[in-house]
Amino acid sequence: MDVTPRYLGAGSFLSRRDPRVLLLVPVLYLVAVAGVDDLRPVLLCTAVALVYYRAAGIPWRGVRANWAFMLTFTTALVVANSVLTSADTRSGGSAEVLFTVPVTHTAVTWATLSYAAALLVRYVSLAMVGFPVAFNIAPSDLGVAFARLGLSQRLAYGVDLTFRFLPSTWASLQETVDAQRLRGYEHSRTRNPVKRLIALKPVVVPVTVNALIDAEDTVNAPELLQRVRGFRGHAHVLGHRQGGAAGVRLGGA
Amino acid sequence: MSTDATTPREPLLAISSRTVVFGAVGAALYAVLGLFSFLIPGTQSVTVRPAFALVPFFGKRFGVIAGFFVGFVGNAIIDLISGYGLQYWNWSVANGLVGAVAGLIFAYLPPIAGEGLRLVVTALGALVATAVGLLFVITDIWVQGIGFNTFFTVNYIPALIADGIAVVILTPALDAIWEPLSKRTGR
Amino acid sequence: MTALIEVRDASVRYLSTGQDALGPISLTVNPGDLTLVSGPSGCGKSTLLRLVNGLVPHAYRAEVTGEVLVGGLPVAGRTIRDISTVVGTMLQDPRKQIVGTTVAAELAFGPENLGLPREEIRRRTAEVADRVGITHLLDRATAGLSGGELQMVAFAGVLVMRPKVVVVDEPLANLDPAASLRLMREVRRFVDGGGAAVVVEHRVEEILEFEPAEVLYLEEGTTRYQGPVEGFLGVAPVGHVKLPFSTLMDRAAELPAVTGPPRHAAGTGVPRLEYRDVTLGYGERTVLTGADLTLGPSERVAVLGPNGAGKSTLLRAAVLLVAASRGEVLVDGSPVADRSIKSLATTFGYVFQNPGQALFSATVGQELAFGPRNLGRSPAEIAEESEKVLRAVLLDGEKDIMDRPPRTLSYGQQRRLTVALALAMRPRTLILDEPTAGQDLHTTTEFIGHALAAETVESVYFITHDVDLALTYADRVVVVDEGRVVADASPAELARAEGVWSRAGLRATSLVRAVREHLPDAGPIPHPFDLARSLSHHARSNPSPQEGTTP
Ligand SMILES: Nc1ncnc2c1ncn2[C@@H]1O[C@H](COP(=O)(O)OP(=O)(O)OP(=O)(O)O)[C@@H](O)[C@H]1O
Ligand SMILES: Nc1ncnc2c1ncn2[C@@H]1O[C@H](COP(=O)(O)OP(=O)(O)OP(=O)(O)O)[C@@H](O)[C@H]1O
Ligand SMILES: [Mg+2]
Ligand SMILES: [Mg+2]
Repeated sequence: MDVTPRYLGAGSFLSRRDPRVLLLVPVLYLVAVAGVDDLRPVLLCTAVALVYYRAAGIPWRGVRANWAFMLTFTTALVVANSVLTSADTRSGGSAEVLFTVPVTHTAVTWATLSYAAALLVRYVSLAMVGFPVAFNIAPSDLGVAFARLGLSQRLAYGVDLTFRFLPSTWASLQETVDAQRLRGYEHSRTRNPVKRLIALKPVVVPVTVNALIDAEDTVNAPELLQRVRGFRGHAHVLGHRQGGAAGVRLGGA
Repeated sequence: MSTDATTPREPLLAISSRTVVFGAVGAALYAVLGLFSFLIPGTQSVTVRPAFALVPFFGKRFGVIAGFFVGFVGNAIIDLISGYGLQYWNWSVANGLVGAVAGLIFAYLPPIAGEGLRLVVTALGALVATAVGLLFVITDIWVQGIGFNTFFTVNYIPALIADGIAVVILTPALDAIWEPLSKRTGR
Repeated sequence: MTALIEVRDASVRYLSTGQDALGPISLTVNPGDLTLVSGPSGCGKSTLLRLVNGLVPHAYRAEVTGEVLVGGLPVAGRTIRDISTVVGTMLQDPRKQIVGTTVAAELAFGPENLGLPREEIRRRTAEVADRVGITHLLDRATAGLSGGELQMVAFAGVLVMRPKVVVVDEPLANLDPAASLRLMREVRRFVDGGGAAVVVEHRVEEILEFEPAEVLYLEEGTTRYQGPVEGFLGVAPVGHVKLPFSTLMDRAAELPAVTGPPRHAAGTGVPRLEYRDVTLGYGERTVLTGADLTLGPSERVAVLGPNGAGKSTLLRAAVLLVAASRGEVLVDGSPVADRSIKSLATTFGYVFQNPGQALFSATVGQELAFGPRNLGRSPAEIAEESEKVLRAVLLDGEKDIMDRPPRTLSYGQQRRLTVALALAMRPRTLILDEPTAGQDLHTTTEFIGHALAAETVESVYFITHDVDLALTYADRVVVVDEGRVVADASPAELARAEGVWSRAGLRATSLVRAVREHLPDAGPIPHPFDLARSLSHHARSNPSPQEGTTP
């Protein structure tokens, strides 16, 4: 299993932009469309989003699953929101009731439906501008991007460091699971959530404690202290990082 | 500058290299362990993410900043890995707030000697932090353009239940194990 | 010329425990000096290094008396960062030092932060990687590296920072002899190039051939010996330091009597573990190919081989942690794939290379109970078993050990505890992955002795880089190299097999040469002490460590 973000859109137009762009666009887009819930303008925005998404050059095969998940999830949310609980309180549009939902007895009108549609489309467009963040920024560049966005140098470095810790954390998780299985530990079948959580202690605890104890020394490793200081240095090497990204993906494998 | 290997506490909002490293470690842990979650039988929407217990734990042990960092970055990475960018950024913020609030709560609580009592207080504190922090998800009303009911019934309550269970059970466990080690240094 | 490091009768007391860890001791390191620091586990070696790189008192709360100068300036007034531009530090456990996701990123990281231009970074990285011989690893993820590979990467990571003096804490602990040689050559070259080095190491013999200017031997924090190598060989406690065989012969008179661990009666014919043309790997990476190997139910087998050869992988297959992509692995005659993890867990007690990995309980008692409880044993049974296994690994002496939080035990003790955990499952075969790495000779002997003597255990298979350990305690040695099993012989035969020792990853120690010269082809090899005693009369005919071992 791959625990590190996948870098799919390599070489595409967006990938060649400064990561900051990819971070800011979704935020701005979000603000832009937040209020809009009339179908036509939403469709317009979506068209723009689509262009943006194409520019990311994310291979369809790579993200089919993500889209499937995203669609089912949002559809569920929209249905729950607009149809079941009639959150849409606007009068206007045709008030003619098409049908009423059995259990909740909420009346469904054309307005509700178009509102639901608008909502759904908006989510999709949001996803379109969101995906490039996930797939077009080399993980190793995120930290630098944040730093350049004015986040504290050190926290930015922390972001960078986090990505460096991902593969080793994953490796140590595997090792711990192995070690415990050899002590007769097996994933509990019980459906009782409390029991299931308790049954996770033999894995969660040692992985965490090991990570912390190692960190106790890492935090004292002199050249690390130096590294934390010198983080600005990373700005120099943006771009020569794509190589790094390849390795990063390797890490989880 | 000198980090102190023997005392976890530091000025509330200080960002020492200790904060950075432990924040990063925590975020990585949360991101990796957070990939695993399970549905509470009989419910559709209540998925328990056991690793969530790490967030208040880091808040308690390594301070407000580290706590926020773990929750925010950790959750963001989980989103990145599962592939929906940062569109649910406000949930990451909520996660972060849980860690931060936990950090605050325990910073102002006096250290407790009694083992048993400490466990209880840790559980409660973590639970409160969770309840407070997750309130930020109310921004969904604006971000996802949903109604208050939906926010409360579909988003907040289930999240609170799920994360609450995880926090009450695992956070004290982690904390109890770390207690004797927190002073341990060298080897 | 000012000394790079100048320690004037300094002593260290850790405030967290209030105990004196070191001193008073003095040490001077000039450019061109290679200093060897040795001594039993817990004697203060790491503390000395922390004193020199400023971690004590800057990072560890400790009380320091006396004077410590680095680069001519007192440490007291300076920041760790400032000091670290003079002193490059390699930690005892490389995992804690490596923060790069890929080897390339790791090496580039330091220079990046110094703000060096990209070309410069590339040049340094490539140069160091080439010198240390890890160019082939550059694109690998650090998470997937084997123990020894990690160590070389960590050292390279220190070198790219171009410090004036490097302090290295037990660098050889996880390295195969050849890699050790390569690493020490690098240290030596760094020293000859005007730098200096302080090396903490238990594997004295391997350091000696690089002619350290001074040896510092510590015991309980105080200087037991300080001076040139020759004098050290004369006074070093034979039971605690692994000395060159020639030295053992010179001091044959004072060698203590040794009783080897008892041998178990040969068991039934069915092999405990059998590999039939097995291929093992991770994902696309194939690690071992065409392995044919049969390990008996009551054998002591040592597995030797270079870092990354696949030793751990080979034995992990026995407990299904790696599945064979070709061929089949048989346990007690039936395919391992058909066995349940639990039945495997009671057949093999597996001790991992990295001790802390499985410890999660609040007390040692609970930790010991976990495995057996999973097997559904009764509390009474478990309690009794726990006592027994703690005795087996020499932990019963520790004060109220049962209630200690496992992770507060010392590193060496934790390693022994993990063996106890394995024993508590009442395995018939014990598999130890580098059980003695980073332990002093005394602990090693005691430890291996007891592991081999544990009565429920019929057979022990152990992975090690310590050739002498393999020759002394195994009755069969398997050598893994370049993804294949390249040798499988009795210690005596192996010592003679010239071909093996010339291979990458292995080097003939002075003991091997002695065996080759003085023992008949077959038959067991006596304990080095006994051998030395019996041979001491032709001391002359033996090579001195220097001429004998220089590459
Ligand atoms: N941070 C610390 N706080 C308190 N005591 C410590 C600390 N580090 C080490 N000690 C104690 O100081 C003594 C010396 O420890 P040190 O790590 O220097 O030994 P060492 O020679 O490096 O042992 P090893 O060979 O096992 O690495 C030991 O008794 C140890 O328990
Ligand atoms: N989980 C893993 N994923 C990918 N590659 C791995 C993994 N574990 C080991 N390897 C690789 O497989 C090869 C063999 O590893 P292994 O640990 O068996 O070597 P080893 O002989 O035990 O070396 P050492 O003596 O350094 O421990 C190495 O190249 C290592 O990088
Ligand atoms: Mg040490
Ligand atoms: Mg190994």
